[in-house]
Amino acid sequence: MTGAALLGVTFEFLTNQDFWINVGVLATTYGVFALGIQLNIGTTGIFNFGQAGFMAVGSYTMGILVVKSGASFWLAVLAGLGTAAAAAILVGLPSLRLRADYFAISTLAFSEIVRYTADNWDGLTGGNLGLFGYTDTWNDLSARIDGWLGHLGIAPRFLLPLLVVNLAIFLVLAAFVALLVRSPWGRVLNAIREDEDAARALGKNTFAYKLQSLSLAAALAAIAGYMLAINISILSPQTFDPILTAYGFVIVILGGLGSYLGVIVGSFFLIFMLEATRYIDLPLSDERVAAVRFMIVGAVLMLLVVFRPQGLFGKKEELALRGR
Amino acid sequence: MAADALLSVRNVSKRFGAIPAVDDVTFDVAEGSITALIGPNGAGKSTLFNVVTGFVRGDSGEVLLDGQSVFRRPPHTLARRGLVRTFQLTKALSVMSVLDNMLLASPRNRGERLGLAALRPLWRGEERRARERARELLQVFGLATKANDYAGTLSGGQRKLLELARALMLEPRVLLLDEPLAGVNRTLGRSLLEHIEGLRAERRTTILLVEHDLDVVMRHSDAIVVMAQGRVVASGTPAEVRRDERVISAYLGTVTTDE
Repeated sequence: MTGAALLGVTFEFLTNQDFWINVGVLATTYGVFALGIQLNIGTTGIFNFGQAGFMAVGSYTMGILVVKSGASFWLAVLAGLGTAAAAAILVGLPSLRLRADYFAISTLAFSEIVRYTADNWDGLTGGNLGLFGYTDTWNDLSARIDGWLGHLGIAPRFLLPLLVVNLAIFLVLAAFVALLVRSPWGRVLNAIREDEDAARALGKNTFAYKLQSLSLAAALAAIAGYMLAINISILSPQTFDPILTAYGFVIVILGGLGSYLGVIVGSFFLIFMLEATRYIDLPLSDERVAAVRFMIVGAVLMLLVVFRPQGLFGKKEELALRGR
Repeated sequence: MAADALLSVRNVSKRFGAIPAVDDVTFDVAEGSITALIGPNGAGKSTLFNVVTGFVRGDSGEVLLDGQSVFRRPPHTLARRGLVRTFQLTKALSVMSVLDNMLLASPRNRGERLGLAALRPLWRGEERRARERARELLQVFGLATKANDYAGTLSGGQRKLLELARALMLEPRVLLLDEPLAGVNRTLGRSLLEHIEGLRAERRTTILLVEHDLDVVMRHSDAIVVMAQGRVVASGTPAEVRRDERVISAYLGTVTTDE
């Protein structure tokens, strides 16, 4: 018996391509999701706890338009971006003027309202049986990508086309948001995080900037929602549990506040941990093994916060200066 | 209203619950003057500052900037119109560089619009000009060598200098300084005062300041407005105010009730 087996872990999964494809698909989805959270929290300093709600609004818009109205997938995707951003403005208009903690609670409440609405408005959303049948356009595209990959000598593999598309979208979006944040527009967001009154005194309409930051994050959530919707082929309310938003926070903290490279690395790191710990093989019941998984992830996070509080790519000197 | 008044405060009142923090305050700030607002603690100076700069909504009254109403306008609108303030507790943006602090204040930067932010060539020129101007001002204020440091690493006095320099990026017509010398050592304080006087002399910037150091106020201001318990109790030139019985009793009166 090897040492690894004694620990109840076998590392064979690490050589399994499907494992890595799955990690990649999930990590890119959560990564796009977390880009929005990074923009809100790391850059603007507004505590958006409703990211899962915006994701639901965007992906249900897409799903409903395709399945119930027979709209084209691409139009539905555009519409979902619009409704997610509009939802952000609707939530932000009354709540972004409130103190930070009230805003946080408002966004969390919004997220739950969306989820319960999706659960109960059966006629529109399919309720908890879910909504499906929006993947035709994707399936065609996926087959075509398989063909292109074939020309490159890569054998077709389940979810590989989604990984390719997700990865491209994630990297482009991460670069795009990082570019925005380094512009004068991003400088205003940074100033709002540091001291909103100072920014107002210098002629910045901070409320408008916070709304923009939130809407952009919501649009990113919608894109992550499409990735998830295609991956699991069914939209159901429990998919959009607030825990999703919490995962986004974990990615942002892992990667480092304000770092967009951190979002990329943090999302792969978190999903790898979550997926790899599935292979723990202990003489315990299934639900106990599931609990052990989260204990391990939690312990790793605690170690990171203790030994590297600024996250993987955060700047330590900035951490020390915050609040000065 | 005096003909040369650039900023005019008319019958402004602000209550917090039952407490009248500012009670029917009226005074003018002449263009190109250094006007000081003094008074014992709790006189309502800071509240008045906040009402004039839009950070607190006044209950009634009127504030005119160059004859136009600016009462109850949001702070960013006022700042863009040239009514720029600094804070008693400095608001240096700690985790941003000194230069970024300056650039943030540059007005009319198209790169600040979300729609154009990703299109760098469209605003590169403006940004470069803002950068040149920022470096000039940092040079004047002796902060040029700190341009790339985090603002949070500056000393208290240097932050006051940065805040003043940053406000100047907006090319203010009226500069409202809330206790610019508080917590600043004598040498730096003198340099700050020189800058303030220089501004008035070179740019004809109008200055309204709250200050507790009466020596400084008497020596450096053209006009003084004295507040006590939310009201204006006296105003005039330093010489006039110095002789005014009401000023003495306002100060001594509070000293005896406070302590």
